[in-house]
Amino acid sequence: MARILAVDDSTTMRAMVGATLQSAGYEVLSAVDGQDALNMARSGPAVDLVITDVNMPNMDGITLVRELRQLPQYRGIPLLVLTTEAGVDCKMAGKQAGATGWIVKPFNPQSLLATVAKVLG
Amino acid sequence: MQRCRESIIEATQSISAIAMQIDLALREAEAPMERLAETVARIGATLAALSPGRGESTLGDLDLSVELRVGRDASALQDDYYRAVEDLQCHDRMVQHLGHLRDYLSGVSGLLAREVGDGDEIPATAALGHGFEPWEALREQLFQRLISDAQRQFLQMVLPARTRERRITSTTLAASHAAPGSIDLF
Repeated sequence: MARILAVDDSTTMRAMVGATLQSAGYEVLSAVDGQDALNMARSGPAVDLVITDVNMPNMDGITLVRELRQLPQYRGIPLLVLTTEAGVDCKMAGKQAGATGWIVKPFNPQSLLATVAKVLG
Repeated sequence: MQRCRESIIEATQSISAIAMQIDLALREAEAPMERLAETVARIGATLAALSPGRGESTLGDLDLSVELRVGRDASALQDDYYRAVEDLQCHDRMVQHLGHLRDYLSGVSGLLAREVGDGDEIPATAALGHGFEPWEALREQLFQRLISDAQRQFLQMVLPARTRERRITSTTLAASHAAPGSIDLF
């Protein structure tokens, strides 16, 4: 089963995203902000998908997506943004940075699982 | 003196808008919290009904009707769990909303200090310009960060954009914000 990295500075959000993904059998790793996720991407185990928030301390989600796309092992993997940010400018910034998709919170667990299955192919 | 007076009026209006946004943040969380309470109560009732020792057989010797009921209740539990996860996110949305209001308040405070102070530029507000334009720029920044149509409409109502260009921008943005829960694959 695929391994997914969930990035959010909110403990509650990490728990909810993690529990939802684990309920479908995915292995879930978590990071508390963009910098933490980038460190894990550079030195941790390989992952098949990253789901990241946008507004986080130390490094925001858009910067994380941009940085991950610079890493050879992350050029081809799906990067989903899960955020309260709904503005078209922010979404376009995410797309330009290399995000695969944009999910506006609150997420519906069934829809999230369907989207994850879809992007993992 | 005139500029100082105008700045105080701008700041007062901005703070009123923040107060109303905080009130809206609380009201926006009411419905999901009420639903969450109902969902949790229902989960508790379902679990209690499923537990053995209430005059029914234990899991070891379930008859077919009990097995069917367990299956149905498990499905109901999963649906309720999904509802709870969705409604619990009102907390995260409120934190984001309040964070944007905090940033706006900080901007208003800095601008007011610059406009009515001793004339020293405050770095964070120096790029915003002078006159009513910096107040308008701050308001526009907040407008773009708000996370629901209700929040944007409320801000438009209590602190409307004053330049034609920004009125158009605000209207366009209101129509082009993605809906909560929406998914867009690129």
